[in-house]
Amino acid sequence: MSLFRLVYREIWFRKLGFALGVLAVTIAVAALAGSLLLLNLHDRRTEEIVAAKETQTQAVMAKLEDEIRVITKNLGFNIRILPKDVNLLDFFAKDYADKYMPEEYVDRLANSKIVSINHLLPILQRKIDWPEEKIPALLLVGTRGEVPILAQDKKKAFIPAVPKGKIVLGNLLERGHQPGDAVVLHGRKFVIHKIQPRRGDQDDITAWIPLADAQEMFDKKGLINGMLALGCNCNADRLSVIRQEIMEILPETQVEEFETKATARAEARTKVAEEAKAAVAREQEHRAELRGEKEAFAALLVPLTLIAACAWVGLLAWSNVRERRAEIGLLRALGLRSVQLLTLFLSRAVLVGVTGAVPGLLLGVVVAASLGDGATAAEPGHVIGLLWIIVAAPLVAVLASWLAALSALRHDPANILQQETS
Amino acid sequence: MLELIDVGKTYPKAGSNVPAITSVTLRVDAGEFVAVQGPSGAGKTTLLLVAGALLRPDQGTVRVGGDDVYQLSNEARARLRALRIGFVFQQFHLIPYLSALENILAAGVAHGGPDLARRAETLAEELGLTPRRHHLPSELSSGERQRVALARALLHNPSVLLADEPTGNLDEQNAVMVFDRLASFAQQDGAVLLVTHDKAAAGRATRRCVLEAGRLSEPRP
Ligand SMILES: Nc1ncnc2c1ncn2[C@@H]1O[C@H](COP(=O)(O)OP(=O)(O)OP(=O)(O)O)[C@@H](O)[C@H]1O
Ligand SMILES: [Mg+2]
Repeated sequence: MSLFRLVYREIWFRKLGFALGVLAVTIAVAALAGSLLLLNLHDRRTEEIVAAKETQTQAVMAKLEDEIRVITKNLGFNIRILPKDVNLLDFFAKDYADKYMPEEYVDRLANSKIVSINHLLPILQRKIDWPEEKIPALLLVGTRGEVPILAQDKKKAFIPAVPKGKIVLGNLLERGHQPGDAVVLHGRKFVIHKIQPRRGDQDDITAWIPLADAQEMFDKKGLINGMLALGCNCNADRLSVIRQEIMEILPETQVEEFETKATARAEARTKVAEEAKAAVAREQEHRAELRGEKEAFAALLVPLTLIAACAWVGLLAWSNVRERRAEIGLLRALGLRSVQLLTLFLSRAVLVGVTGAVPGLLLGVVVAASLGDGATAAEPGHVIGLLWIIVAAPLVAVLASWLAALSALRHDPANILQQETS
Repeated sequence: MLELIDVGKTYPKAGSNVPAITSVTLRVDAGEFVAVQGPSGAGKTTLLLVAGALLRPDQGTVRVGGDDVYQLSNEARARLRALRIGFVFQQFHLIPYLSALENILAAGVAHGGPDLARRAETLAEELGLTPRRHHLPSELSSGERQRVALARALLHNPSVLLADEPTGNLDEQNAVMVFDRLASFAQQDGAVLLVTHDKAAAGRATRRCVLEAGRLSEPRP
């Protein structure tokens, strides 16, 4: 007969004692596995909630971004860079600057590492009449289209260059013409490229031609009299930041900011983004708080049940050894060695651990699922990750029963048999 | 086969030490059935435990089949108990959760051996236990329990059989059955050492000694 048959028969004979030990292990394992799973479920739910919030925010932001693109396209820029010696009184009276700077300035900015502005547009503009069409005054803008800033990600250019030999007309300058018609401006022939929709501002009496044509017409080869840019919405004091950056690169200029719907919307967008970020942060904070509470509870519950279960398993093992004193004496008389005696009691402890751990783990999963954040199911991977408990539980049970098993070794068989026989 | 030479054992007790056996010399050869008779407290159980390699004496030598029992390692002594010594006690000492047959086989837990299962069946048959072999000790009569204990002691076919008051709890019919088995074990070249306070029981032996206050004497025939 093997030692293990002895273990098995003894357990079957003293079912209650064994079951009590198993129950303790089951409860402790359920508490441990349940707590770990609950925290895991909590984290996953948090991820889901935050991810959902972020997706929502991103959708809102993307929509805003689109709107801004549209609006900006119509309403232009909010930063104007003029030659340093331009008198602003003159500028606003005439709608253009009568001082000039090298066209090469725009390339200098474009090749710099500037971050506070983007969408750079060089222009040469002047207010003139249009005798051929009998228009007393229009703003003629020569532009070569948007110049990308090399250091920045290439954003979609929203002001294309006017093609060579073409003219783009503001809505009020249309005068019965259609795109494709040829017109003559101060003796120069242009083909109408596009007629802008009505905007209700100066754009309606503005005509755009290639920069090179404008430079020839005004005899300003290689010169421009302004640059437009879109300033960043970096912060409240952005103008001084922009000014500082530009001044470092182009000291012979001045920088003005003008309000447009674009800037207003950009500001709104920044605000919405900030609020959305804050909302996500608030949610994260709230979830972290909840997790803290759950953690604190687990930190109390788990060690308490573990200690109680260990004490209980140890006590039961002790009482099992006491109950089996006569048996120990007899087995010694039958030649059982210390290792075999230890195996007899410790393999019982292993069985208590394993038998308790399996239902304990299942119970933990069930409890965690019923207490957890409803929608999120336990991840199979994480449950499998808890299988170490099934290995650990018998080890802990062995440790808890260790002293009891050692005490079995210390029982003197002669003493036992003497007492039992006389 | 079993030899005790000048063996003494004193139990340390608070105050005065109690000498349980003093300078006992005894030899039980193969084929002998020796009874040691003595009153309660004379040291009979002590003598048996010392002879059975379970209680180290303070003095003297114990030999089983030529081996100096208490010079052996713990391991070797355990092996000796398992294979070469059989014990029978007054209280039977059956394992409560094993059936009669399993209790007989319990002698094979420490050291297995070939064909132990068949031998257990044979012993059960021989001792009239076959109909009861699947019963737990609690379901057996005293006589049946002692027969199970006897079969267990005989499982490994030891060279020495030690019996401590084996019939103390039995009626006459069962007592006779046990003594018959001890006698037949001796006849098959075993050495039997029986300790008892019962004069009649001692009468079954081939040789009788008296233990009194720890001292052994052999009455002249
Ligand atoms: N563990 C012990 N500690 C102290 N004294 C003991 C111990 N075991 C036995 N004794 C004492 O040793 C003496 C011999 O005891 P032992 O049990 O050998 O006697 P016995 O002849 O078997 O008696 P009985 O016929 O009643 O069984 C007794 O006086 C007993 O009180
Ligand atoms: Mg006694």
